[in-house]
Amino acid sequence: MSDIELYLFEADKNKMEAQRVATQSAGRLEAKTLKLIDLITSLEPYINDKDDGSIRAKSVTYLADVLSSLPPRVLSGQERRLLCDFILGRIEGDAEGIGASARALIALEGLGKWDADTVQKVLRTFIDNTHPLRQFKLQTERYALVQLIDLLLAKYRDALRQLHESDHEFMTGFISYFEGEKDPRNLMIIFSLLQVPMTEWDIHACAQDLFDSVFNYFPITFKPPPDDPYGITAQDLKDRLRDCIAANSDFAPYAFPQLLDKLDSTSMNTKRDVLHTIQACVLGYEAKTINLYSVTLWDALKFEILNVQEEDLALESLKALGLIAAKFAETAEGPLNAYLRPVIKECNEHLEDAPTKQSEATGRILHALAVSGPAVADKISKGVLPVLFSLYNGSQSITKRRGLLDVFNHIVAAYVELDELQPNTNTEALQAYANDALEAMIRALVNAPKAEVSFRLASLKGLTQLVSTRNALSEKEGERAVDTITDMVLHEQFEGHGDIRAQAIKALTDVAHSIPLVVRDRSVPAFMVELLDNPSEGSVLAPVLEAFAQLSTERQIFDTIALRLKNKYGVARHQGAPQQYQRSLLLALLYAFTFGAPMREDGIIRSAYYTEYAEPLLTDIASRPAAEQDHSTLDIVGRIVNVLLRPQGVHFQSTVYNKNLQWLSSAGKDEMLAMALAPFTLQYYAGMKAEVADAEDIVSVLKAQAHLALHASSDPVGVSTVLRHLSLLVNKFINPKTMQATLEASGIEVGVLLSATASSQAIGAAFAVVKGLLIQGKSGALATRYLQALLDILASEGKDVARHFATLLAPDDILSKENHCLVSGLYKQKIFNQSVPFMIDAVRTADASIKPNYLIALSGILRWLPYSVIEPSLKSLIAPLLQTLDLNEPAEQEVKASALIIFESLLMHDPTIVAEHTASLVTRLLNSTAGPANKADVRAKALQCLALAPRQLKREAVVPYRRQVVKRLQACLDDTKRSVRTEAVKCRTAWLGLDEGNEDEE
Amino acid sequence: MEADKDNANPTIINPSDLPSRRRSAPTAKRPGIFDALAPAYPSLADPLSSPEASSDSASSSDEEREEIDEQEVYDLISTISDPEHPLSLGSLGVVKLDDILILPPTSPRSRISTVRVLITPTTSACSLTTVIGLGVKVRLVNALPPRFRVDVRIKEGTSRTADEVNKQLGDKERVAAAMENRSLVNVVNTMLATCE
Repeated sequence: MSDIELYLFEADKNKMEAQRVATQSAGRLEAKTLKLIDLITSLEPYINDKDDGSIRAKSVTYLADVLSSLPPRVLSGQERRLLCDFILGRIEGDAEGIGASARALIALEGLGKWDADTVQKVLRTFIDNTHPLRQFKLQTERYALVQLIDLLLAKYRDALRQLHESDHEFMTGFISYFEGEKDPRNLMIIFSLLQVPMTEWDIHACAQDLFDSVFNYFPITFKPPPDDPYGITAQDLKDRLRDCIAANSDFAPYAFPQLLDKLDSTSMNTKRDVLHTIQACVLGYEAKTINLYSVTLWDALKFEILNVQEEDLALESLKALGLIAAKFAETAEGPLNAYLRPVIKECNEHLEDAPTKQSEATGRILHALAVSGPAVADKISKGVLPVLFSLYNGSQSITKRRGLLDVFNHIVAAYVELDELQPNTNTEALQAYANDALEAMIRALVNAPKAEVSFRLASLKGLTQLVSTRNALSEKEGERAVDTITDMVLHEQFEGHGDIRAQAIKALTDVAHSIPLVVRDRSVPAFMVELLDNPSEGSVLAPVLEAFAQLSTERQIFDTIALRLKNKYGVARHQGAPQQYQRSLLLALLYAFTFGAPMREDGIIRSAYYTEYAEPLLTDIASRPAAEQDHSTLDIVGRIVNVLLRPQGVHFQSTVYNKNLQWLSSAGKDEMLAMALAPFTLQYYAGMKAEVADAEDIVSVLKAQAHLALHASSDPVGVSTVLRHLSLLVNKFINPKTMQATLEASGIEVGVLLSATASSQAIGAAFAVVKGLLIQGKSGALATRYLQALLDILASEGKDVARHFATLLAPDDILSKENHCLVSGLYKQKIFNQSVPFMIDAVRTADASIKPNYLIALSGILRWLPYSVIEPSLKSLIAPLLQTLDLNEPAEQEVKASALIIFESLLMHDPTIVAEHTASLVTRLLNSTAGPANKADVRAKALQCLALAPRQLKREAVVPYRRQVVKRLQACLDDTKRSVRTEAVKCRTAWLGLDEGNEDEE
Repeated sequence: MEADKDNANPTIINPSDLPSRRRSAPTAKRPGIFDALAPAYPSLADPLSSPEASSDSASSSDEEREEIDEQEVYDLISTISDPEHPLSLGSLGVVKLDDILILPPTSPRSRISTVRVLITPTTSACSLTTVIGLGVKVRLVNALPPRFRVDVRIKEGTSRTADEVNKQLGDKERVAAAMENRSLVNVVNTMLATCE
């Protein structure tokens, strides 16, 4: 059998095999064991079969498959030309196998470039003989055709343009050729290939036909089938179609009227498409074309902004308006004036009855336009500001003035944005009114009644923006603005009137960014006057100090702020100012270094700060006896040292470490002093890298701290600090390999601590050690054994031990990666797996008297775990959690609250799990809403959970409880706490809402 | 398309000028920015002194009663949406704090207080006044404890149909009947959907 016979035999049964036959023929052609002429001759009887079109089609497919498998240079130029003619000749008489013919031609083109004649001939043959495309029912056939045409248009631009230029009829056929195509894959290509004539050819004569041929598809409403293998989305089609519509200015007379017509559509998606397309057209068409339609577009687009239907439509419309202005700003002034004239006229009209919905919209419109270019901003200012300020001065109404200021602020905001993009924007038009505005706003801030919050806020915002606009204000005017804001920050400390003080502080830091020197020279001294050296005990300087500290977020004045704070602290301390005040000054310094913008080198806070700020504080501490040490001051100093020390390199830290080693170790030997210094040493060691400290030193520190933990006084804060220190040492400094031995040597081996009659100090120490180990994750076996030991004592000890479990996972700012601690990525999961299943079992089997122990401990673990960790075990957790809600002792409120939080997440994420417990859950939640046995936060949380039930659970599951719940919630509406009542209202609304469904069914 | 609204371009009150509890609360009570610098977590020594517990004891007035006041009633109804505009009744000035009055029980033996709300329609010819009144009434009846009697009226001199509307809103039977009307219920529910 010849290859073609084999191929025809397999073609319908086994596509792969047929393909293989074709590849084999190609191989033989390449090896010259088969001549092209013989191959064609062998096709003859089949390709011309009179009776069976499908055999003819398959023969062409064979030819196409063979050609696709051929490597280049096997066929000579002449052979390729002959083949081309052969295929084209066939098409004229027979359309069977048209897709394969196209594929064959694509393959031939791939084997060697065509000349212009061939290209023209190919395209003409197809357009003349296969018009229209839709006559071919198979998508794959049409697909091959459009691929071929796409290829021609992509590679042979000139040849095809000549074809169009020499024959005016050609385009008509070409345009209508694709009419009626519906398949998205084909359309993607057609939209793309049509762009070549649209953008490169002179299509003025047939613009309307060409436009209509694509606009017929607008708006695209295509929805891809659920498991579409081609991955074409509606958005892909929209993007390509939009590019077509925007391709040629000649489309404008057809595009704009039709688009604006569709803007009246009731479908939001259509409107969205229209707006995107208009934007593309404005970008794509020439300025002189847009000029013809600019006012028409304004008249249509403004409605979307003046009467907002959907916020995003308003935003898109604003963008379109801005693009039009930007188009003209680049070119001539005439069109820009013509466009802006009606805009400014209408905006000025809207200003007259400000503040209204439309005056608010006006502000947005003016901003969108002005921001599109300095020339536009200039014209807007010249057109609007005179009217705005004459209205402002002509009115006594504060609300009106506020409305006008809002609009003014929008315009200034545009200048600020312009200036960021291209510095030295021309602000002349704004300058003309800057002084008027400044006076008006200062007057508003100084004189207007404090209750006029929005008016003053608008003025404050305007002032900040004016300062940020370069050149808008003179130096003197800038100073007045800064003085006014500073004065507000310093002296408006009385109650009420919204958040204007917070806003003023924010404004001052913003201003400091633009004119740092003015703030440094005027505001900082003003603050210093307020901050007395030695205030009397009762004076309230905290707000001033807080505001001052916040200025440190501006890098340019950070050093000034920090230095002034340090000096002020020095003076206050020297003069014996109240402790509270000294502490506040240190806190301000800590705030500056934590949240402010200190100078950095290579991303690390400069080490000089440590030397200048932390070291003197440290020296001061070292020189004082135990009796003079103040616990909370030490804590703050410790934190300052910590924040400045911890990012530094090993070398720097080592120097610091060795410098302080001596006095610290001698202080450690004095029990009184060591206890007093505990808050400082904790932070100090937390900042050190592990490798800086010497192992032996650390062991002696551990021993000292262990001794304090087990024997020192019962001051709870002090003990807690020492215990945190234990966790830190265990976690960071002790070598995991010798962990147990070191613990034994220090007297804090957990097994020993828990043996026999453990004191409460010993239990605390045990939990501290285990916490350090669990988070570290390096001593897995030891940690597991210790954790189990803690779990075991639950059976014998009281609830106090159970409560300790909440400390194991509680967040701790000491044990963090920033403090160079070892934090295992999976420690939460590990602790969960090692403790929770055990406790679930214990709850099930335990005696009623010790069951609460397990419930409390369990909740102590669960409350700190992210939902994702708990999720896999939810089913088994529900029973113990429900029992937790039954705990009714006042001390157990925390435990209850954490159980409620879990139920809340459960109802949000996995309501099906809780569904079968609906009855018990609803009852317990209702019980938890009753005061005074339950605290306010428990009551509120219970109501939040209960409110989720009707939304998250199946209707039929909750409807039976509706009457009961709605009735019992009436009592909650009268709860003593306002926050609880608010939740009760929400909850009751949710349950009342169930009613509506009921009526529908009846 | 705006023509069918009774008032297409109403005056809007700026959100920061609306009465709120926060706005009038003394600033001094709020936590300072330095407080966050030293966070307190349950300590190892004394797990009971967790932050929640301590903050509760700080505001030791846990069970001290906060009475329902005019501001609370305002907060309940100011977020209701206007049926014409996507705006709240508060920002349109339809309900005002000054127009809410809580009257204590008339006799020492009675427990029944009265909440009186006066509504100001955006225009004197607003045809939707009744619906707004109904929405306010429904919201308060559902959200206030039963010891309050809810009295919603149109503010004198602000609507041409005030007497008629007041009669409707004051009549229990008519309110109940109105809430049987499906389309009216739907309108009211849409208005209330924006309430928290």
